[in-house]
Amino acid sequence: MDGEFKVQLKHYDPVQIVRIFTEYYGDRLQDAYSKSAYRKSGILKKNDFCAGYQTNDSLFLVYNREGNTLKIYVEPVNQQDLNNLKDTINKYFKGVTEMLDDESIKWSKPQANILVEKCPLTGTVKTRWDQVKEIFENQREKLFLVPIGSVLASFLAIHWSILEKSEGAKDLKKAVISTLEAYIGLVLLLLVQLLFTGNKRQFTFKF
Amino acid sequence: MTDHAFNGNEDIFVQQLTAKLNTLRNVQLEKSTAEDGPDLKVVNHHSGKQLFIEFKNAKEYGELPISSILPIAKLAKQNGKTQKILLVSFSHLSDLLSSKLKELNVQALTQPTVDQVVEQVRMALA
Repeated sequence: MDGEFKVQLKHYDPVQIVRIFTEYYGDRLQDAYSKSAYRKSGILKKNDFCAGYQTNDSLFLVYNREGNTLKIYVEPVNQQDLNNLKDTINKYFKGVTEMLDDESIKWSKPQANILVEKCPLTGTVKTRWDQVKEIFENQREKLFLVPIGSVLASFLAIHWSILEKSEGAKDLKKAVISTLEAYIGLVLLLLVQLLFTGNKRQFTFKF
Repeated sequence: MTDHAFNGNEDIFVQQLTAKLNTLRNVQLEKSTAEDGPDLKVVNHHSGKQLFIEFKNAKEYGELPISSILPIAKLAKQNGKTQKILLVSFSHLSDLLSSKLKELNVQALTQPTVDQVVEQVRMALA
């Protein structure tokens, strides 16, 4: 069981990539490669990779440039624990993308994959826009449906003489106030979600 | 002949492929349950030739991760270089993965139709 994650770089400079990986993670390609399943298999050679890193419980290897995609192979020592592999991928993803940000290298389209026999898992990252969309989806009823319904109900009640105009106006006022409350709530929610929690550098995996 | 393209459902594709392969003369199919065995073994009793078929799908990731090569390399190593292996990939193959598959003498078909796979099997076993 192993994993891979990739990000698209706006400008891919292979020399710069090797330099920054060496600066941040040290010159560990030989160590990482020699512990990897690739060395045992022999099918991919050390020179198929440009950087690597290894700890006691996991390693990563950076594939040589292919287009503008930076691809990283992740292999844990514990081959049985799926959650451990997910955490390991997220740990390296966070580290690598923070490194890219520090070096002002623009990246996008993060994706991850875990190879479990017959059931590949795909990891995606929720962007800020995805988070905003999710908040709007969750608040849709309060923001749009309830206010429209209240206003419509008040107009119909006045039209059919169920309510007097003054009572209808009170109901409309209530609807406007509750709508304003919902929008203020939404603004606060957006502030909390986007400013304080920030953009999570984490993949969510699904089959 | 109706040609069945891959429509996102790997199981249906494999079912349709299996059904078509079963109609070939002198051909026997064996599905493997072994973890490191091929997904499908096709044997031609007449010529004695056999072909291993591997199915791979990276789904939303879009392309097969390069480490997909590891179990295929293991399979190739276990069975010798003369053993023919056909990789049916439902996802894109990167250049590096494609070149490594060639090194292993593994033929790869990317998002093929059922008939293309059948034709490839027919040629391999002829």
